[in-house]
Amino acid sequence: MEVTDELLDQFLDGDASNDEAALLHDWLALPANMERFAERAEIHADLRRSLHRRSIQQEALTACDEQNTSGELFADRVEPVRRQDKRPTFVLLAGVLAMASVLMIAFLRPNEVTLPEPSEAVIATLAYESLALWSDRERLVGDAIAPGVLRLEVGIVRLDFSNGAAVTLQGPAEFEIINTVHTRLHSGILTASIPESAIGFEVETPAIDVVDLGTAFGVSVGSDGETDVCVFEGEVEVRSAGNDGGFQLLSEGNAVRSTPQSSAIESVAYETNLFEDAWPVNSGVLQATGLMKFVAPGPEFVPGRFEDNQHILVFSERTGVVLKTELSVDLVEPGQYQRIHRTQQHQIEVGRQVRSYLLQLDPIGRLARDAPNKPRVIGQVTFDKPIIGLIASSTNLSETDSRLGHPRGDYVKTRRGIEPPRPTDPPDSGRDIVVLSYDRRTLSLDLSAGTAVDQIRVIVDELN
Amino acid sequence: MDRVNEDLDENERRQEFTHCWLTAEPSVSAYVFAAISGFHDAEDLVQQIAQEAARRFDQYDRVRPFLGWVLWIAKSRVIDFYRRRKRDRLVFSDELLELLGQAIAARVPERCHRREALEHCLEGLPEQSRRLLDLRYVEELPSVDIAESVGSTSGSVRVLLTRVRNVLADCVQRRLAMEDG
Repeated sequence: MEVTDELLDQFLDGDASNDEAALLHDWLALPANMERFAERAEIHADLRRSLHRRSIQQEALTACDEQNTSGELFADRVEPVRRQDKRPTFVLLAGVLAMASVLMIAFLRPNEVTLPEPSEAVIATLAYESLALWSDRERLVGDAIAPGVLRLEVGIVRLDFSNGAAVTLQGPAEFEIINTVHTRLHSGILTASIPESAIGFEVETPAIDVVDLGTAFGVSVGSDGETDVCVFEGEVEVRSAGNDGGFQLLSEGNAVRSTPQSSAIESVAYETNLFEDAWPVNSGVLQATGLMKFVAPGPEFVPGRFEDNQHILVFSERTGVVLKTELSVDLVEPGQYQRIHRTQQHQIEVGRQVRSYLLQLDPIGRLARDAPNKPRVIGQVTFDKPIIGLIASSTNLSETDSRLGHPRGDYVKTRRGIEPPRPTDPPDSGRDIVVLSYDRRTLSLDLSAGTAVDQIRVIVDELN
Repeated sequence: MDRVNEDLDENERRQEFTHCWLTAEPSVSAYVFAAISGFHDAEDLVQQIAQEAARRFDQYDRVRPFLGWVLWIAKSRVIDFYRRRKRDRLVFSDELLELLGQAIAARVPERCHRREALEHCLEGLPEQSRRLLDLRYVEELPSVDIAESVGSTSGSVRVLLTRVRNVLADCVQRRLAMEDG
């Protein structure tokens, strides 16, 4: 039997019989033949990549065309409510996607079944939801998420992927999961944090492909497919959906925009407003109320470089820190605190995997201790993991800056912890009260900043 | 101060890895796809290889080509995959995997150009041929189902797909020859 291109293709498509495969294996022992085979495999792999990208781009263009057409058709009859033209198109697109997802699931299943370990079949879990309304079907926190299209009408949800990637979606959004590393955002807002274990995580949109290499970013896709990408940390690769020519590296603090109709990727101002609701959830901050404010994502928003005396700022500092030595903290038990006694030290044991946050009230400029207009702020912050320690004394804060502080943070060495009341203060003066809730998830603060900065470092147990 | 230096190093290390991986990834994908066939398994495996390469990047000897190193990792992962897969499938021997790695590495020069050329060539493809390719690569239908969808037989679908790939391969060659000339 002769080895033809057709047999090579059959083999690469997984359609060759064992006899044919055996023949091919013998044939491949000759380096010249192996070269021919490698060339053929390259064509298959490149076609898969290119056609995949084109299909999603086409999908968006079709949606655009339909939008325009329906606008023309109904313009004379429904002139006063022209803005609603988009609705039927959206439903139509949703129908097309639903069909595609059914097809996809049908063809994905056989592959999943052959996976060696059952745990690998669980792609993602719904880890958190806030006021979420799904338009396809009900989902609850803890539900396993299978490949397919997810339609979120309103609310915020977080999906934790089995490889460690975390994706927060803000409705209205249509998000499609193909596998643990390959997703599509058809419309809506998404923020993602990608640890090293999920390197290569890819988000396709009608206009841009974003390939992550261990970082954090936000993607927003409008109903016309226009895509904004904003890199919060690290670097991502972006490539125009219509152009396979090359990739472009986009580093933190930068943003780009593109449309499905254009192959150009345009640099735009770094603006994170779009992502300010979704991003905290990615970072483990589920809710910040009162005057508590999670800082915008980006290289400039780190402790010491960003001030706001109206709010208690919540900075995410480090994630995935495995303690190599014991960690001294000031508070561990739920309750209400006013005084920090350095003599009552607590230790978090070696081996715990923790995440750290810094809460800060930093008055702009220097206010006199007894100034009448001293800023006083009250707020609450809720984390997705239990708080196992609080560091609120200046000494302990400074000692843990290098281990748990933000790598680019600029930490002052002066007094900065929660100030204990002075003997002259009346008992109800309300100075710097800290309350740790009994479920260890919520921290309430009532801070008044004097001449020093008020800071608390929060340590949460990442694996709980 | 040491802390700052460590962080800078870490950042540089990550950047360096990013550049290396992005350049090597299309070749790694072709290698894995050739060795195991089946897009989903191949894509999962490529991701595992990226993770392992990132984790072990410190061990990479900078004087040697990155692709060679990462293909060495890829080979181990492919062998692991063979072990987990059902035994009734014939798999590549160690020697064949080695040869395949060499053949893929030898194709690195002009890899980028070939991918660009393929994009142009796809543009010129007749509508019917594109449809066949989409059914195969986007919708991932087996030949039998493609045949049903286009009203043909699975045998002729296979032949047609091979022809389309040959047309594209020839077109890529011609474009590259034109550029060189």
